[in-house]
Amino acid sequence: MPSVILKGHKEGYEFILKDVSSFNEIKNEIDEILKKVQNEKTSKGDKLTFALNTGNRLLNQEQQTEIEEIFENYPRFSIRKLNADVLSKRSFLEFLDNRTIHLCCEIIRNGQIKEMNGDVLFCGSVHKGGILKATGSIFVLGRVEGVIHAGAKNDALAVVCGNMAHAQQVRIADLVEIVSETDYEDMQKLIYVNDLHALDTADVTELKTIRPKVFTQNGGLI
Amino acid sequence: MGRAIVITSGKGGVGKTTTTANLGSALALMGKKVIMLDLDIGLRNLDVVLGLDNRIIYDIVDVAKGRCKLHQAIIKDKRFEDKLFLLPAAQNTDKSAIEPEEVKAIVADLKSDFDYILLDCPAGIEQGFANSVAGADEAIVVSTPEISAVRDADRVVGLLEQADLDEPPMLIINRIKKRMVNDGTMMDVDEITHHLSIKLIGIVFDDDEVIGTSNKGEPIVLNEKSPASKGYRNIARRLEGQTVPLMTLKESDESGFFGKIASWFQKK
Repeated sequence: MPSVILKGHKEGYEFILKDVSSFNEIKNEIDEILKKVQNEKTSKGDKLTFALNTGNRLLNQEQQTEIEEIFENYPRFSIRKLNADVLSKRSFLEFLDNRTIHLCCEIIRNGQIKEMNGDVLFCGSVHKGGILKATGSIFVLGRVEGVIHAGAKNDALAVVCGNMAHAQQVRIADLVEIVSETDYEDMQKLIYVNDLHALDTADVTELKTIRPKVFTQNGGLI
Repeated sequence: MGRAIVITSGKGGVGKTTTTANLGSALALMGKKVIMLDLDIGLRNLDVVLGLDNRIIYDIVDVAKGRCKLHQAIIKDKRFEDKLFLLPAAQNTDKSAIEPEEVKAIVADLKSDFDYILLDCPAGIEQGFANSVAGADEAIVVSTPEISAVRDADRVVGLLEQADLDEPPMLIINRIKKRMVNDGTMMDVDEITHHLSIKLIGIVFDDDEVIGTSNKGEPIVLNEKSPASKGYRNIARRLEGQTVPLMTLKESDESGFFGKIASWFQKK
């Protein structure tokens, strides 16, 4: 039973590293295969890239560099990407934190700043003088009389959805709108950063056309 | 065990001290044993409003620093037959003269002897506020129907919610001018209560007599006829768990028969 299988796909070549084999075996077999194929001619040209799939095994930083070192001996070959079928709990939680919509039902009072990670569905109320900040987009069902700040880490792709007519300010990324100086209608609106890097409003139903990426389900994980 | 309640507002001049004095007196009239702590160190007023300023020998800072025993600093209000007491603030130092832990210890000592411990908080949200809240299990936020007072009350409620009290804060709306509310120039009670989303425990109408009696060193609750007095008495009853309806804003009963006739013509 080989520990490493070389497969050809439409996208290119892929090494499947069996997760039941020992890491040393895998290293040896990769080296052997690369040695064997280094002089073969292919239709894809002189330089070849490989994807590495480690199955149910996660490589740590050391193991990654060890494999990269093997590839360095063969100037024709390089690693295109490293893939696994599994995720560490920590990176998954990080992913979850960034990708799921967080529900927030608090009252944010005068002088309070609520900072949240990722997208937020807000059902509470922001009182005058209170600030709700999120690194992602903010979807408001509750009442906002204070300040809403989406894309707080300078993400101009974030949007604000909801009735902002009673808010003090709407901020997205580095842009600020003083609501009393605008003519926001007293209804649900979509507020986003347009191509000229200015805040703009649109109907909520246009979210799909304006920010199609909001709807990607796996967030580039797979 | 007594209940320790801090009376606070954030904004100055909304009537924290008057509320403390009157609520304390109203509870004492109901037969509860009450002590009021003045934590406005450096600018004490509670003793003046109660007419007890001439009796101060020791103060709360003396107690905290061990310069006297707790019972030596407590002043009894003789009008209330062993029911109402005051622990005055120091006048010759400032808020930093006492630490939250020291207030906590004093309140803990008092709890076994009193039914109510009312802490009169200074204006602001600095050390004086921290000192007052540290000792309390519950909080009453006083606001007037003015935008600035409500905004500050909102800020203070936020701080109180973070302070981990036993109960959510309660609200008193003070100095309501009936006429201005009725003609729509003043924020109304429902609007303020809904905005702050905390429990309303009572409203007090604006009454010139409050200042008049204060100046004489007498709490207004001793005057049964005043509407402000009634407001404070109702709050005391609600604190005791009784159900008392809110006073209404209608002024018709004051304007009398001819006033009513006049109002028919005004509407048309």
